[in-house]
Amino acid sequence: MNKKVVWLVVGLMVSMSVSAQNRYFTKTGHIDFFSHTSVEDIKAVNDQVTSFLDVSTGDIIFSVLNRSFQFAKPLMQEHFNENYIESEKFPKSSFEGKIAELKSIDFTKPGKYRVKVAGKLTLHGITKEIEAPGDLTVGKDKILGESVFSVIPEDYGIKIPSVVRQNIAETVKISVQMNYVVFTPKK
Amino acid sequence: MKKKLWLLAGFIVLVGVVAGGFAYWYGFLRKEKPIEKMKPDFEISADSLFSVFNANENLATEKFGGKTVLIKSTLVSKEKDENGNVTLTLVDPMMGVTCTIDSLQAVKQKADIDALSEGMPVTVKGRCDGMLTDVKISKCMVVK
Repeated sequence: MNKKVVWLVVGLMVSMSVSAQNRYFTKTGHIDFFSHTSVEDIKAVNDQVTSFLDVSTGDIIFSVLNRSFQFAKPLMQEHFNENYIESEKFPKSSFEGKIAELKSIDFTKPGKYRVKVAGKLTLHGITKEIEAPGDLTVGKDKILGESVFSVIPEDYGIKIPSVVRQNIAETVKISVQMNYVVFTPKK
Repeated sequence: MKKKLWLLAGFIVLVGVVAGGFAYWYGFLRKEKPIEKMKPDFEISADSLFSVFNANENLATEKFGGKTVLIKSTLVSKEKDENGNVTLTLVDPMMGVTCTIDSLQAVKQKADIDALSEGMPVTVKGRCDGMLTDVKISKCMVVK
């Protein structure tokens, strides 16, 4: 999956030189996940997400390094990297998808647009189709993309040992916030 | 004999209390070692680091992933986001090295960060997380 994402990104970057104004990117996007149980809340934040958005086709790609997720407690971070997401074996997570009903969004007109995004989410080496609602706030030469959706870790082969089963929610909430700017290709 | 049993019981309780205390500290109270106190595993230029990843990402991730690196380079750009995190871009915006100084560290090193300007030499220390289009370094600090 990693090679595929890299080629998609390279493809997008090459085509960017043709019509840069249609392409937006960020390499400091924000994704966090939150697990709530009666025992404890667990939150991890990643502010180093790379994402591309092509407003002419609706193509959207995210790629994150699992090691870049920061937890409040070092032990949580160690368990996440070593036992659950297995960062050494699966260093990246990614999403490739499309914005549905692209025609309803006027990217020349500033405003907030409700959207639906559908595509393939790859976590822990397992790829699944997902669909999520989101908002695109269009500004001058920038777009804010936001979405909140849920993921079931066990769907992606992430096994939670029974001893900590009560500490980790069966469904984890994922929040995405991308501050896209127009991609300016290197001259 | 009875005294020995009491001593043994006391010793077991003491070991239990110490082990329990350690487990509680390890799981709940332990703080991440600050980057200032981390000894670099590697010292490398940003150009070389990107080249190593670009040549063989898997091997480079195996070698540098999760390790503390001291990087010397020229600063391409410096940006602060709405959460107070500062991003230093080295070599190239897309295919270079990106270092993130988190908001707490950015407050601690405000004067050092303010003194940085594009085109000047910079030395940073942080944890190498791997590569996307660029090599990502997190938990960064500016080294004077």
